[in-house]
Amino acid sequence: MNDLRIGVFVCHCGANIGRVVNVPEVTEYASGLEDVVCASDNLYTCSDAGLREIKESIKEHNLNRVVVASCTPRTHEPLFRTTCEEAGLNKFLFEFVNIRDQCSWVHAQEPEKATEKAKDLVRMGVAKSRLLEPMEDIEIDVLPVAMVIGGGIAGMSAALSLADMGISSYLVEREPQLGGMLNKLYALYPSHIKAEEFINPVKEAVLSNPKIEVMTSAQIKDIHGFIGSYDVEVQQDDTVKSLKVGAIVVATGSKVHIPEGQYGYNGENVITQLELEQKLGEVDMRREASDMRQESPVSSLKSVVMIQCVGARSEERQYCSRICCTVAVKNSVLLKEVNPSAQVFVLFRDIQTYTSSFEDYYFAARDRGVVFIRYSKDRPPEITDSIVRVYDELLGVQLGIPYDLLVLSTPLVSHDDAKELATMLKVPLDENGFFLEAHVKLRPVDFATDGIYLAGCAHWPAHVGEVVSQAQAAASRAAIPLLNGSVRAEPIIANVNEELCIGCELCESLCPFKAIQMEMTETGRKARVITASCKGCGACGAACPQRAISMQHFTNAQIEAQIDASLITGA
Amino acid sequence: MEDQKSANTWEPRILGFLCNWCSYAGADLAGVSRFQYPPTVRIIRVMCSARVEPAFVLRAFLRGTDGVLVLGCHFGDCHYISGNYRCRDRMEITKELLNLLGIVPERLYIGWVSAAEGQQFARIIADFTEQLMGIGPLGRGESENEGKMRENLPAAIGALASDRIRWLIGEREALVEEENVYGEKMSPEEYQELVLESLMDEYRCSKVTLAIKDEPLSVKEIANRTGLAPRDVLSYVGLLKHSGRAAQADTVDRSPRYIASGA
Amino acid sequence: MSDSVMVVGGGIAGIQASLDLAEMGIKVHLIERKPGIGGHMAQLDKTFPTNDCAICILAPKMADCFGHPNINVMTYSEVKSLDGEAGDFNVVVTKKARYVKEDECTGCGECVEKCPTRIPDEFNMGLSNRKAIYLYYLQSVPRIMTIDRNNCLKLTRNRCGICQQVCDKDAIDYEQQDQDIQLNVGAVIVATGFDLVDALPLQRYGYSKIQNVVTSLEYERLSCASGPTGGHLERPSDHKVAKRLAFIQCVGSRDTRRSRYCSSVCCMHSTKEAILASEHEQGTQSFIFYTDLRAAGKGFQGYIKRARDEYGVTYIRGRIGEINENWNGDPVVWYEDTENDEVKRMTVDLAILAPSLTPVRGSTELAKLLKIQLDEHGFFKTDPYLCAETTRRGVFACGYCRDPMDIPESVTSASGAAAGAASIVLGQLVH
Repeated sequence: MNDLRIGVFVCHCGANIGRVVNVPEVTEYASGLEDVVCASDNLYTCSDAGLREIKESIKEHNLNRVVVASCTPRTHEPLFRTTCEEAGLNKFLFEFVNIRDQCSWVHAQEPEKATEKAKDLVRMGVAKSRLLEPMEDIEIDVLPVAMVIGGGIAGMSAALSLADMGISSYLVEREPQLGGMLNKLYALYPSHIKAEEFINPVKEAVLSNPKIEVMTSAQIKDIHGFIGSYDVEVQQDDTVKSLKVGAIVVATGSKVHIPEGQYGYNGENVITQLELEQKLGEVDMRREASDMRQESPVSSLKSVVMIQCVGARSEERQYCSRICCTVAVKNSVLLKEVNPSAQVFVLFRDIQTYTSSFEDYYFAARDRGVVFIRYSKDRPPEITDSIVRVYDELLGVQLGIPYDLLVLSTPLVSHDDAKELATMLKVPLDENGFFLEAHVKLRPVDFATDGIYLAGCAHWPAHVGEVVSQAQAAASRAAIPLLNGSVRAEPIIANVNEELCIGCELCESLCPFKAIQMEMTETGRKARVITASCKGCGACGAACPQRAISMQHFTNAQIEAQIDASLITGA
Repeated sequence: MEDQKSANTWEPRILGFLCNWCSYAGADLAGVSRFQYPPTVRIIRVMCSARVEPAFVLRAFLRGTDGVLVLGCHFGDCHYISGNYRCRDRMEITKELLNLLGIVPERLYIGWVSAAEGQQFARIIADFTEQLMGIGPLGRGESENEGKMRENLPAAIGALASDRIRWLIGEREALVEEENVYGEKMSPEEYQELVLESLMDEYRCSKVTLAIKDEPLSVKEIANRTGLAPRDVLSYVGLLKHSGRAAQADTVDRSPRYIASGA
Repeated sequence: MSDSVMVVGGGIAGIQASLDLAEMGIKVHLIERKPGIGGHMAQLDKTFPTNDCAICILAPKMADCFGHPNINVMTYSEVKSLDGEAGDFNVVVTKKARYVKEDECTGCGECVEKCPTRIPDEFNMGLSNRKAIYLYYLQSVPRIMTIDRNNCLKLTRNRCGICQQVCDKDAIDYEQQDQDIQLNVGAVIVATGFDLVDALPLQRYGYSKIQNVVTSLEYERLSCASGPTGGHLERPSDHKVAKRLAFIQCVGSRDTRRSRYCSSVCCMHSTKEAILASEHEQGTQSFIFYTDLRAAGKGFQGYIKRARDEYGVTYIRGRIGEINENWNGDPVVWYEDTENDEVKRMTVDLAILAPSLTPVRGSTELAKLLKIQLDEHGFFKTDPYLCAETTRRGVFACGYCRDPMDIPESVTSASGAAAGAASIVLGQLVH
């Protein structure tokens, strides 16, 4: 290829790269590489000005390859590719070199070596760019129907939101009824609306919505496919249905941790907050039944102590479960309503009543006479003979509080079978078993895998309002491909040279996605790639005995060029 | 290159193959979290660790790298489901091959790093760098001298390109995990032995092919050049002639000379 | 009937809502009153808990937004009036005159160099100066100059006029007028964000009297590589690099005298700022004075732990009584260490106040204009469980203007609001 015209753009990223790597030196080095006709550096290559410079350089120098050395392709490759496209250059003639996340940021104390490394990496990037080929995106059809897994408030909200945008969905729930965790709650903060009163209209709306097909007592058995056409097997009672959907929303929630062995937990007078909700519910039921002959255990309590952070913010489980403080505030106020003479104590470490409404809620609880006692991680409460002994950090005294009921605020934890679902969907879990989103800041309800979205406590413990917000967001994100009817997929896939293919079927047996299959052609049995299913992993390409399969954009020649370029010093 | 080899300033060169979804993301996370590590590694991004061919590893050594790092997702977490198993199978064979070639097999590091494991990634680089500093530069740590070993690498790469070897490596799962129609399957040890035996065979054949690549040689000359027994050379030459990869060029002193030809 | 949506506010929430809608095929008018989009996120150095460079993750979204065929970005513009109902709102937007022709200006900066004025730069929180003709900030989108009509010598006193002379694209136009633009939209999303609380609670701690008492946003600008000190934590009085820092939480928050609510993000952002200080300068010690340490999000507790274990951050529970200054300009912080029951004082190089974050200035007027209600704290009122819609059908709210929330929550709420707006507008679209 003797008419290569490569442009190299090296980024300072403010001082993120520039403070460590000598960017002008790297730029100078790049300009001396063969086939490089222009090299420049920018303060922020991804800024409007930087992008404009790339486009202008493409035109001015008639570039047919562009290399950008800056942060990481995982966040910025799409942007630069689009920029090339806008300037009339095929977007796959672009190569990204990572000199920040994998260079300046990790060799901060060794600027000279980091600079040398940056030069090597740029040389490797230029070497690959010489062998890049122009390609076109693949258009994939998207079935305009979604599947929402989980029929709690998250799932129901997502399905309703999708329906409002004109999109049909299946709502798959494994219990016999919709509602999820809210079926077990008594009242919701901060308004104290009864959970039942809140959730019933939502269930009604879902069940009567013609765009939502509800499947209860239904379990996901298997999932195959890709964005636009996922094949899901759902077992409902004894029948297995095969459904085809365009996108999936994961809204499977979480469960309350049972603190076996802690603080004398016994499920009777040492209980979880969830069990307390159920007791409070019984009071209401009795009130309605006018069965006040038998005093409910809750209304006759003299002293209730709640302990926060049981099984959370500890060695066992480092995270804070976000909602338990507000739950404790709510339940302490409700207890006071049922039984104004009861003494209610909440032992906390840090009260997590944030946002604009929860602080007032906390104020109100104190006004009601709920006593909040701060304890520290190093001196947790101890129980002896139905007395809670705790060191009050703020008063600086050791207290002993006798109790009739001890309520333990435990964290929400992931479901036992979250892993199974994660494996079926091929999505990751974090170290606590919660589903891991694509990007904490930029894509909080997307998975890295296209076409799958996430909402609710399956992602992280959240209040009802937050759950609904996430569900609506997931619906919005899912709506994009579903409304468009198609998505463009990158052509980073396998390519079979039928002349070399001998039809040995090794590739077909290796492909985990059934994306390469044998077909009869005029010249015999040959392997054919199903472009929409092929993920471009390279398992077949690396195995083909005849080397008949090349992996587009990651060809043997390209990788070999990078290997060779990595070790030429001073070239 | 000279500077790099002097005792106190030498730092190893490592070439790393990282998969886009897990290990590359883990390396990025190390960056985001500012976990520092030695500047010894140069990373090539691939979509999946399954993309890494044994030939790539050998080529890297041929070019002079001191260590090769291949990192994929943890088992069960591969974005392409089973790619990391394929990688493991291939890299295990590659390690054996390195051993046979006289290259310290610890120069190939195979590991599994998730997108959330930034610290682990940094630690792997630091540990591998230290390990390589103990082993020494490529050639220094090996039993054969550097030149000889470098000579053998192209032949090994040629062996890995043969369809028989690629077939055997690709079929590992089918041979070892699945039963044939008689209900038999190979044990992992049997399989290993078979692959290595085949590899050595192909390797020798490849040596012959390389010897006659540019100039015609007689069987005796080939035997001298490659260190193989003349009887073996003769049978490989016969094989190559039969498959059209070699042809008789001429006769000198009554000995036929052979040269490689395009098939 | 309209098939487009108006988004008021071009911060991260407004940008996300606009992008989601645009990707669905819906036309968006993004109205931003500052000369460029990006909001407060553009002022931050890094974001918690990943310590991503804020502008690095924001810039691609801004570029996407500005370049998207379905999004009409109107900067230096404000909503003047709104009539009608969901599906059919008639809006008048005032596009303020920047006295620069948008189609001609290339953002080259020649004019800025020659302008003889000196005005405190709002983007840098007054820590540096700008000119009367200026680019809002370095990575501002769109990259177009603006003339500050209150400080321009030509516009106020008919003197100078140098910028017009040096501009070789003839892009300066002193005759430009404010324009009223009519729009017809089906739905409105309010994403106007937050401002720092007014000066009074800050002044209690010596702010504006003691030079080395700064707010968190000022600190972010000092810490930022593209800020007034190039990322060196040089304190205002003598430019000495600050190595002993005090972070004071809840300034005006959880305070019956000012904002009763919790601003929700400050425990985390102060921790982040302390971590960054340690990264910039080895051996930096930071003390965070807090009431309740609020770190309930994903990965937040781990972040706090790392701050303690690896970055020299000490958390002291206690509210500050007052801050004085010693002869050297060092802030002297008087506090009650509630866990040890002592009143102590500590001398530091720099004190950083984490002020209460309030709904943006002008929210009351905007609420009146849009005929939507505010809650008792001044945030746009939405149903606590159903979130996105305000008290007026067809008008949605997202991001901090609705409720204190961090960036991931703002992005989430923005997508949620987009779903709401889309459901109104899609009835009119033919797909």
